[in-house]
Amino acid sequence: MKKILALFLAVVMMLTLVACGAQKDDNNDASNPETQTGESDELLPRAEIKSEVEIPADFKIGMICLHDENSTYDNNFIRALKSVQQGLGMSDDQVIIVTGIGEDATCYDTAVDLAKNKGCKVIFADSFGHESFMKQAAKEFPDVQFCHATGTSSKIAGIENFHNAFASIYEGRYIAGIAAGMKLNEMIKEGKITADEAIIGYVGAFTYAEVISGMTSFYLGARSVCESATMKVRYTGSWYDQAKEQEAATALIENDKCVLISQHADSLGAPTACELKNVPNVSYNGSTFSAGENTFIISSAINWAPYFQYIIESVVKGEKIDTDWCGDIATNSVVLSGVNRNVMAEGTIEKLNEAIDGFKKGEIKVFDTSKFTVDGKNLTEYLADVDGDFTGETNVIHDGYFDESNAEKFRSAPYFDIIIDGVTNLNTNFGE
Amino acid sequence: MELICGFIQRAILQGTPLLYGATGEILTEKSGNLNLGIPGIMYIGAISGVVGGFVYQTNAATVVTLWAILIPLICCLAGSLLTSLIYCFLTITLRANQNVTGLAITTFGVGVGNFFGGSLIKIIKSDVPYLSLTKIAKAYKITLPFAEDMGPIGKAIFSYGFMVYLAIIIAVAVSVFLKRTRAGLHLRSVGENPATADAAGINVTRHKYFATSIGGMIAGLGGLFYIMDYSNGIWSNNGFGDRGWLAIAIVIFATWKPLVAIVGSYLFGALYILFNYINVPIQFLPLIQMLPYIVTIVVLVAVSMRKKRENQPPASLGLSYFREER
Repeated sequence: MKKILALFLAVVMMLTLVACGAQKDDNNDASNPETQTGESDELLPRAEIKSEVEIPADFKIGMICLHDENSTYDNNFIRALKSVQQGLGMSDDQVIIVTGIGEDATCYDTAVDLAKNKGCKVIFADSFGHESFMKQAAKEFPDVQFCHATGTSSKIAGIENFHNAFASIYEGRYIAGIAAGMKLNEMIKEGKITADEAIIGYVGAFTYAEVISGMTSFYLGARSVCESATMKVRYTGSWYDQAKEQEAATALIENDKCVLISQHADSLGAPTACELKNVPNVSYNGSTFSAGENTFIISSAINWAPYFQYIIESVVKGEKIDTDWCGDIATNSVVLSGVNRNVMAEGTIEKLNEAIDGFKKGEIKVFDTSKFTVDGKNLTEYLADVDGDFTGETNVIHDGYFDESNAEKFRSAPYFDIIIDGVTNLNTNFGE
Repeated sequence: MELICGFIQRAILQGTPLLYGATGEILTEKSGNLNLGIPGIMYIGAISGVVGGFVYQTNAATVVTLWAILIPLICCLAGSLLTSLIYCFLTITLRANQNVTGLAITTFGVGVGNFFGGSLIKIIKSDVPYLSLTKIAKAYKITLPFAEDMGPIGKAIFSYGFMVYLAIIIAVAVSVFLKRTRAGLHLRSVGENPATADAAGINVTRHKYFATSIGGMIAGLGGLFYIMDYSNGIWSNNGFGDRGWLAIAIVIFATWKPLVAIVGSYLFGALYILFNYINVPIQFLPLIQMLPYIVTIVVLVAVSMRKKRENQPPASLGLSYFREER
């Protein structure tokens, strides 16, 4: 008995050693973006960071993250800040990233620590729930700039050194939607589906304006090329739940007969369901090509690097940071992955490049009110909740379009919360 | 019909990791060890399989089905065995408190899993933090060739990879082992009253070690199934979630019977995905997701009130055995 046990343990140890030893020399992994074959070059890549501003050696920036770099959401911020650090030639001491800070008083403590003990001149927090704690800290340290992503209240807070920021990601989703619409057209043309069966499925986290704005822009993008497209939406009630997202996507495919899926939630659940069911997928937050070589089409993401560069340079130059700031395609704040040539419809890349040009020239208005209806009517006025009190008070429609994420006039965080005709929410009724 | 069959199929896929966990835990608890480390062991089972699969997928020129299955499988078993042995050593040899040790193993397991998962993700420098072992997963998802042509009912029964059936086979085997074999009887006696078992010449320590280690290895397979079959070979940190706790809840639900655990697991799996099949406002989702736990509490209350002998947990569950104790 002892001999068998000893032998078994020896085998286990050997396997462990093999497993540990072999990891290091790996550089030909299929999931390495550089070795992928089916994916085109990025349509809207992250620009190289260049600057003429010299950053003093004693300048420090602090960043407070909800999770660490293994979270899709936080990874996007960390990656951007590190690229800015490199681009501006800052040392590791000058960039302090604190991870795993919950949306509670720990955020305030961390912000105070960064301002008081670590000497940070500018502090950034990445999660919606960090906002009130950042404001609290901002009041106590007027000489330090406090910047907060996705927040809604900098304009009404009246705190000089507190700022909000977002990006008009709806532009990226609209372009990704065009790729989806072209795929639907291809499926109709090939006789796989009829025009009426061009149903898109969408897995959303919550029925927030952020999700509704994103899914509507995606849908409008798809409908701009495939008129008969409709969309069904399921919500998971969580920003990150792999199994729930996968199940929601599977239900959309199997029960609701959706023929293409996109998502606004942070796990790989929906892309995985699509790959398993062989249904095309438009992803989010970065390329998921290696998880869906046969189904991934394209992905859009926010690039926070331009904002980081802007706040760092503003503080160094002694200039004021905008109270609220919204980046867009023109500022390189919205990026697009490559397109999967195995899955995309013919002519997709050309069509998307046209749209990108259109956005850069300011010719495309995503929420053009002549392009969608609500209860059969075109909107001429809509009172949106811009001040974050859950009641609409500001008309955001002018010149024939819904003016989403206008940081100058309204605010950067999305406020488009209308379910337009053609979109069906399957598992929520807003409590009506 | 198609809808119901689809629902059953999804419920079985959701329930299978739970079944592995529950079967492993039942075997463990029958020896008198309350292993609350099962969620951690499942997590380690998953990451061990992922590490093995990753090394193989990245180094092999072509992925051979047999190796694609065996390497992650053996790594998973080894990883969960090692973790179980830590638990055994602490609770059986050193007689540490089983609850504390179990909880520590769970925290440890999740940490180890995320550490190795995070490290591998760093190695491949992926845009989005995840690992993709889809080539390996293909081997795990091989189904019976005729499953596709069998209509909805056939699909609900025959459309799975081998690990779904393996889970049922293991549960049945454990049930037979516990009820019908001499070794099973010995194991149960150790869980009920180790002093008596000891006096009858049964090696208590050995039985506890074996039951807990093998139980841990079975549970580890649940983690492997989740990644390789259910998630199509996609690993993201914390993606496995906290379903290990559900597995422990099923043990109570099944009143320590592996055959009932099969039904229990699929039922819990069904409750987990129910939100997609009934139309509820999103604010009520947590209430529906609470159902498995409520069912467990109800069973616990009912079992405790009725005091039926065969439905009770092993009498010495959670207690360390010390021969010289008076």
